[in-house]
Amino acid sequence: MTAPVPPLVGRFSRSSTLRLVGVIAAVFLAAALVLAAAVWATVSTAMERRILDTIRTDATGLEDVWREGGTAALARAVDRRRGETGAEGHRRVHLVVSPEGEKIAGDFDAWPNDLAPDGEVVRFRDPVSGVAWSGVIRRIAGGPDLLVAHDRAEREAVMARLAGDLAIPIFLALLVAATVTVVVGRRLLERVERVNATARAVEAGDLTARVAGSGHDEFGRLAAHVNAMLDRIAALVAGVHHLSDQIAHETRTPLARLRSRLERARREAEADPGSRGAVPALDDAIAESAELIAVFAALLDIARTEAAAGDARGLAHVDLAEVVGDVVDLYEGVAEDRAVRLAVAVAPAVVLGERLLLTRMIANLVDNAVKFSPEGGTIDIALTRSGGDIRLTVRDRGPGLPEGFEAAAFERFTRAEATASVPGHGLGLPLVRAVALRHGMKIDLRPADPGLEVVIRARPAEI
Amino acid sequence: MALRALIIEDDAVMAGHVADLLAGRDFTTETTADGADGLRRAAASPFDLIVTDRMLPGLEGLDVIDRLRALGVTTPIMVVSALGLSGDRVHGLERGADDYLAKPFSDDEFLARVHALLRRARIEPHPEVLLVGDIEIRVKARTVHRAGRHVALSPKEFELLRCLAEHAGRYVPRSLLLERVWKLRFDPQTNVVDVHVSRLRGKIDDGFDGTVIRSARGEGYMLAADAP
Repeated sequence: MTAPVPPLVGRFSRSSTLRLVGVIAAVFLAAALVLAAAVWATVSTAMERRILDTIRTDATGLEDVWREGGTAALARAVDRRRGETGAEGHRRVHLVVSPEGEKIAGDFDAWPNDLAPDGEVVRFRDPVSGVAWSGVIRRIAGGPDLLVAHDRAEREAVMARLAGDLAIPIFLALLVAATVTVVVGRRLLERVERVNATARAVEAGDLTARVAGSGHDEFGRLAAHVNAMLDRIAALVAGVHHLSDQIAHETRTPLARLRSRLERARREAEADPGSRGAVPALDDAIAESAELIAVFAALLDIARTEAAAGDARGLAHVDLAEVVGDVVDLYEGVAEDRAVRLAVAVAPAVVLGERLLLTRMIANLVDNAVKFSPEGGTIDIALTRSGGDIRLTVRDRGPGLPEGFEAAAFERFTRAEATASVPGHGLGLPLVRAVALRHGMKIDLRPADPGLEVVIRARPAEI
Repeated sequence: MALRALIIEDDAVMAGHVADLLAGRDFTTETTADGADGLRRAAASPFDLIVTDRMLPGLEGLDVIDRLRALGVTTPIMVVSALGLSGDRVHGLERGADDYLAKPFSDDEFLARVHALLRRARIEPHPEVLLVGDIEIRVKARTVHRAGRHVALSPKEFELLRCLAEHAGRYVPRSLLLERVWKLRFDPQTNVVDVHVSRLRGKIDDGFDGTVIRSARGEGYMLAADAP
């Protein structure tokens, strides 16, 4: 059995497996980013240092020129350098300014506006050409101020190449992370989903469902344990089933004898004028035995219906709308006599089921609703589709259930105290639940203020 | 001529009881407790009715039916069994039984079903007109007249009257009415049948004294054959 795996999108928030894989992928990606950032920072610092070292050497050389030949020699050297590139191929610019701030020589007319004249290392961008420069300011004691700057283009080109080089492994890391998330997540999900699908099938009543697949890891052991548990449950249910069959045979026969003997005694008493007085007592005895037989039959029906849960044999397409129609047809006379209105709103809703059992289930619900309805009350019977599900609701305006009684209402022989005046054995709702279970339907009791709303959700049959 | 019935039942008390009930309807009965013996007897000579249990020594009741049907025996067969769930009934009817009654049953129900079986075996197809006293039921046209006057009935009321008319003069248990009219094989807790019958009474007895539909010991209803 292969369980269908739901799409990953949208499942993320609901699946802890997917979340775990997602977290691992995110950590993976973050590690790659941190590594890339570290490389970037190291290279960037090293490049900067190299440029500055070159500029400093340059500036020191020019300072030596000044020492040897004075300001005029420095100005000449600067003029000579104009348009040349440095030892490493950088474009260079210079500016020599007198201590009074007059330009002596160089590529600028003034210190660039935003350039602090007293900082040693400066970076600036030529507002006209857009070229970025790194420079060193040297204030020569007793001489002019000197600015030497080199083009940062090479450094920026290197960093851009580095960025490109780093982007590829990061992209690969992202790809690997995404693939791992999808592949590992899907595999894990598939295995978890198999267990879930089996649990759902069992919940729907199929006790023969087992988790497919094996393996000796945690998932394999989980599957094996779930299967062993289901085997045990199936064995217990089979035992109960067998026992109920035996009870059916061993007890029904004596009950049948009891009844036939009573009927015979009654016939004989009626025929004999001397013992005609015994007839009413025998009638009572027959009525009591009929009651006993009815309770017993209902119990057996519940037990065997529960045991048949999940068994697809004997199931056919049944339109619940038709069943509701039949039941309403059966009960509208009773309802009318009690001045209770049956408000029916149904649309075709085909399910896979046993028509007779479904009729009995809906009849029990309507029977209850009619019994507990106040005079003049309305009973809403609706058959609607919500999402992919079929919803059958029966709502009365009776006293409803005492608080907290919802779960107990499905137990055999349980009756709310307030209902003591209404005839019944407390076997109606247990049978309703057994039928619902047999068809994999879900049933809810909800207070409706006033009254009680019974909601049954069923899966439509695939046609 | 007396009718002949074969009873295949391993419980002596039940077998005796069924035999008594059938004797009251002018049957002569033969009884056997063994499935295989029952099969031999049923195959050897013609019967008008066979009543069989399911769980039997020798041969299972449904297997007896299989074999008899394979031999071309068309005698009406009623299964009387403690296996009484709807699935069991459907299974029994599919295997060739003509009716399936769960134990324990009431005498009225058993007899009404026997009556229905014999009627089906003898008069087929269904008669076009049923006459009970001054009531005239036209089955195909689905109309009812009483003393020449048309009585308007709902479809279910018509079916109810028709079923009672087919068993006129005998009590028909509620369970049989539920099965024939509403196709239901269970007893609703509320007496829905009573309400339907009382409505039918209201219509059919309108303008007449008394009622033609009698109720019996809280067990069932009878359409009086001697209605005025």
